[in-house]
This record gives sequence, C-alpha cells and structure tokens, in this order.
Amino acid sequence: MTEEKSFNEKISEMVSSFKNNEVNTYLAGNDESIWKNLDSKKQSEVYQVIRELLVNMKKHSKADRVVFRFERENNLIRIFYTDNGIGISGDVIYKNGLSSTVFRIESIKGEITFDTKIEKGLKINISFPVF
Amino acid sequence: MFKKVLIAEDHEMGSYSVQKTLEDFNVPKVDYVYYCDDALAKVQKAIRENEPYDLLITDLSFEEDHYKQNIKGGEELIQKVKEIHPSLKVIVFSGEHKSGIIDSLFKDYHINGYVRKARHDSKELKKSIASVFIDEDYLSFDLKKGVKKLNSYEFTAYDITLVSLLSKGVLQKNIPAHLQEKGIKPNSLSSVEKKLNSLKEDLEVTSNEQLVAFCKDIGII
Repeated sequence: MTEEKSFNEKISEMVSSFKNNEVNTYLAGNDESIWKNLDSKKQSEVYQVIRELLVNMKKHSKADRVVFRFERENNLIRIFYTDNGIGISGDVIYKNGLSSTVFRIESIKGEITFDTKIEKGLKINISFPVF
Repeated sequence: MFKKVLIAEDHEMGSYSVQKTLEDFNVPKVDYVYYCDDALAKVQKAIRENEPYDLLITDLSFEEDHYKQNIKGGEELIQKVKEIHPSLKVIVFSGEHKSGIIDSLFKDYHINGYVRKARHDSKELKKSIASVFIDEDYLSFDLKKGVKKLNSYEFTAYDITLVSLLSKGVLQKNIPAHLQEKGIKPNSLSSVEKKLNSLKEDLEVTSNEQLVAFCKDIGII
C-alpha cells in the first residue's frame, strides 16, 4: 500500500486535483507505457510543465474544459493540451508564468508550440525525446 | 462462471440473499462466514488444500460480539487475504456510500467491484459478479457519479480506438473485425458494446453519433 505510484498515476492525480464544479478535466492515452524509460529528471520537468499549464489555465483562461492527450511514437512523446477558455495572444506567452514552461521544455530538448489562432481557447503541442 | 465463492457477511439475512444470488449463477461451491477471522482461515485452508476460492464477497463493517476477533473489518480482511492470495477477486457489498472510501478500496485495496446495499442491490450484485468474472471492475450505478467526480475522465487507448473507428463510419457491429485485424483485444461484439455503452453513460450522451461529436469536440480523436 505504500508502494511508489507510477508516473501516469501521479499525472492523473495532479490533473484531477484541478477538477472542480467549474472545470472538467479529461485525459486521453495516459497509459503506463507512454512514459516507459523516461528518467526521473525528465519526469519531474514534464510533471511541472503540466502543472504550470493547469495553473495558467486556472488563473487566466476562464475555461470550463481542459484536455490532455498523450501519444508516443517510438522514443518521442507528444503532449496535446487543449482548453476552451479565452485563449492568449502570442506576445503574452512570454510575459506570464508560461515562460518557465518554455524554458523547461527546452531543457529536455523538446519543442513547444502555442496555437492561438483557433477560434476559441488554447492549444499547446509539446514533444520531446525520451532519451 | 466462478467455481468457488466465499461470502463474509455478519448479518444472517444479508448472507442468505447473497447466497441466493450466487445460486442463480449456478456457482457449485459457495461458503459463508459471519466473522472476518473465519474468512481468512477459510481462504488459508482452501489454498492449503489446493482448491482456492476465486471470489470473495465481503461486507466492510462487522458488528463486534462476544467472539473476540483479530480482524475487525472488511478492509483489514481484504488486505490480509490479498497478502496470501493476491489474485483472489473481491467484491465489496456494503452500506458505505462515501466516495473517498470507495475510491480508496479500488485504488489501495485493489478490489474488483463495489455494490452498495441499497435499492436494486440484488440486481447490482448480479451485474457486478458478471463484470468481475470477465475482468472488468464494477461500481454500482448509484455511486458512479460520486466517485467519478474525484477523477478526470480518462480515455484509454482502447476507448480512443473504438471511437475513432466509429468516427470513420465503421458500424458498431463491424468493429470486432477491425479490432481483430489490428490484433487488439478484447474484440468480441459484446465487449465492444459494453465499453461503448459505459462511455456513453459516463459522458452523458445517448448515441454513438453524440459520442463521436463529443470526442471530436474535446480533441481526443
């Protein structure tokens, strides 16, 4: 009962902690196999990134729905974030809390793109190599 | 169906009705005990005799009486039983309705089913036995909302495959063939139907079309 939680469970718990009467949270593809062989340093960066996205969502977005989808292709992990809030304009990204998110992703040799041109809400695509 | 089942329930009437329910499934060997210590002893003996149980149905609270018991309640019983017989399936049949406690039974105690003693509990118990037998966890319907609230809705890769096939215009009845082709299991029509029905129920939509629309809308397919 005291055994260490697997990484997918940690993510699932953390995302769920942002769920309340106003916001619904959805996860897709958060299986144990997605995170296979990801070392603890990268795990902790990814964990913080997801947390920062959620904190930002909670503070600014006015979204009532947030979705994380995870995919893995060989040794590349992709994270797709979507919310249905008010969105952000391009130049704001680097002025708020998300600048550290960008920094974290760069530190694990990943890429992050903000799709702010969609009609409503915010889409963020992240990808990074496992090794 | 299960071959050998143990019922741990302190109320005689409660135990009797669970026995009756199992009779309907034609389970050949059903044992029942009124105390947790006896339940553990039975499980130990069954393992020793190489005729282990394949299901335990247990209550959570056992009233104390003049027989001093080492194991005081269902949670402790489950824990002890799982130590000596980890693969034993467990359904909890109890009046408890606090979602936090029930959630922890699934997460920490790895139970397979939970049925609350309430209206329709006999029907729910039957459904839970059938589900647990085919390796699906079961939570009685009246509780689903409460426990779900604690968690994000999680789509598994399997869920996404099913909805993606629907979105490509594959008819529900033809999905099994596509799954077989890709080597994805379970691929029987009944398990596909069951999964899609529970998805629809959980997401509060009524048709496959609405299910596809919802999943497209939130961007998971």
